[in-house]
Amino acid sequence: MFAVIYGYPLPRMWHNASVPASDRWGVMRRRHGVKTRSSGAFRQWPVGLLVEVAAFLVLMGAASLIALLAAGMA
Amino acid sequence: MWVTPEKQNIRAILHYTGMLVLALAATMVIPLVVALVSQEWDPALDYVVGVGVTALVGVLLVRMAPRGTPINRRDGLLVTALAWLAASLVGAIPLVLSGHFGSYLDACFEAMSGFTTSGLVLVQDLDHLSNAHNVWRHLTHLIGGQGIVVAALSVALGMRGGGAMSLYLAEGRDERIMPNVVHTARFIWVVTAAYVGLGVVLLTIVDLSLGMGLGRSLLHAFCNTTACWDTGGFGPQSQNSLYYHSAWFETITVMLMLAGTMNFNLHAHIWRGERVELLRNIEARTVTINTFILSVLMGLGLAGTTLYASSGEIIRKGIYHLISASSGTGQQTLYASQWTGGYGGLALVVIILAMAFGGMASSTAGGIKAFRIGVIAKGLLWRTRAAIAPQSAVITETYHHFSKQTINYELFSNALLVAVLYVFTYAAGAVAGIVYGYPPAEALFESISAAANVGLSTGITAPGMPTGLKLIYMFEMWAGRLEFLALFAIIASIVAALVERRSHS
Repeated sequence: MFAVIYGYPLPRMWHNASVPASDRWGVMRRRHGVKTRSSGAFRQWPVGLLVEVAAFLVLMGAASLIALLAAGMA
Repeated sequence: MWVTPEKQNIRAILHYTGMLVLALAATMVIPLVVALVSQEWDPALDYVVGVGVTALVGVLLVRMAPRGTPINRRDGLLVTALAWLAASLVGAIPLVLSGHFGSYLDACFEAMSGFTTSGLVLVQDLDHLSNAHNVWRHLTHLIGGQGIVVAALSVALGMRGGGAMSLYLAEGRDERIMPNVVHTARFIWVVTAAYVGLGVVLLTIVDLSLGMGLGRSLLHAFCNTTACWDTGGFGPQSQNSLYYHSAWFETITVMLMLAGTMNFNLHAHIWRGERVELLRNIEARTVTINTFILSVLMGLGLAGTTLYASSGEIIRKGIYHLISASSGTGQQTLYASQWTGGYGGLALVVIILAMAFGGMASSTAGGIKAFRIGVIAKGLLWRTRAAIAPQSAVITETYHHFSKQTINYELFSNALLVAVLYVFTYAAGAVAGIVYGYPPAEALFESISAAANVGLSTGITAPGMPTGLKLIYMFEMWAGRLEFLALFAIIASIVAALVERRSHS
């Protein structure tokens, strides 16, 4: 849905504002092997997503442990 | 000196508000499609009327000024403030036509609660609400949560540059994640797509394992994912999260709540590979410290009650409600009456504090926000150190928020000012509840829940509640979402216009 809204595939949306509108789909750049400043900036996003999920699990686990200890003391 | 808006400014404000209303009309097509697919013919008609009226209002407003009319920062503030009101007024049209609301005001309350990602509900017989209306209720979370302004910008309404940034800043989002606001909006939508996609898949699997059919599982998964990721609080069932009785459901929804309460700039840093920011950031640290302190108090508080039979249940339910409250989500796994009947005392105070503090800035969470709490704590430390140091000593206090920064008077006073305004709003709403005859603890709980855009309820929010209190809670939800500045801008503009008219007459 988002790809349709923006008019190009998701991984392509990180291009910067300097990309000419006529090359919206990146055809020219792919053909000529041109790399823009911000291309690949979010290449590690799946790792980032996993790191966030792991951080949430650690926070939830630690909070549960602390609450359990507090409840045990009471 | 107050600057009175000129006629052309008012026209520009209405023009851009109209564009947002038009974008809303376009999103109403989604529940219309759901109604047609589900063969719900009456709700389909509700959305045909809803789209028509909303589009008509949008077109009339847009025609107030020519396309491309420039807009300044002050007018951007006013558009943002009006966007939530306009969205609630037109978003309520299909809801009131559903027959599940006592009045148009109740439907407006529900829409305002949805768009501000609060989650307080006035819908009647929710368990028999159509798929289309349920999808629309939860879409209001998604649209409002990502910011009406940002949402509109992301579908490229054709407004770029300074004016667009004015709208974005007016919304209480002061982080410039990407070089321009359109890219920022797109980034926000992409993070949303990733988490909503992940949430829908996982919750569908959980719902299927609970014995639901595929269609129903998908619907429930979509509704609960948007409600949790956007820290909203609506649910497709009247029992909310209690309906599922599933530890997996609770674990996944807590993950979504935590992701939703995280600053979008922090998401961007982690997704770029700057993962150490998670450990150094003042907001991440404040949220962690808050959660740990409140967890200790929650454990102590619930241990003294008879609500839960085992320690495991205390932890599972207690932590769920703690994160639901602090993230501003409002999902609950108990009956409303159990807040004061079962929780009581210390555990209730913990939930109230968690709601009041809120999540991170530049997220869909409400409340005072972790950034301000962190800055106020650092500021107090700074002033205390200065008070006991020799007069000639220069005392500085630093914090990390995407870069190393120093606490100064302006930052400290701004954080304090907004915190005081939140506390004042919490207290004013509580007094109103008490005046209407509700017990003080319940009135305070409900007021904070509304102003901090949480959505947990002790049962005060019900179709039969006084009309005055409905209006007060709607105002609290609106003011809390806008973080006061845009609200003050609109009040000041109206007052300035009235004063000028008086001086001319």
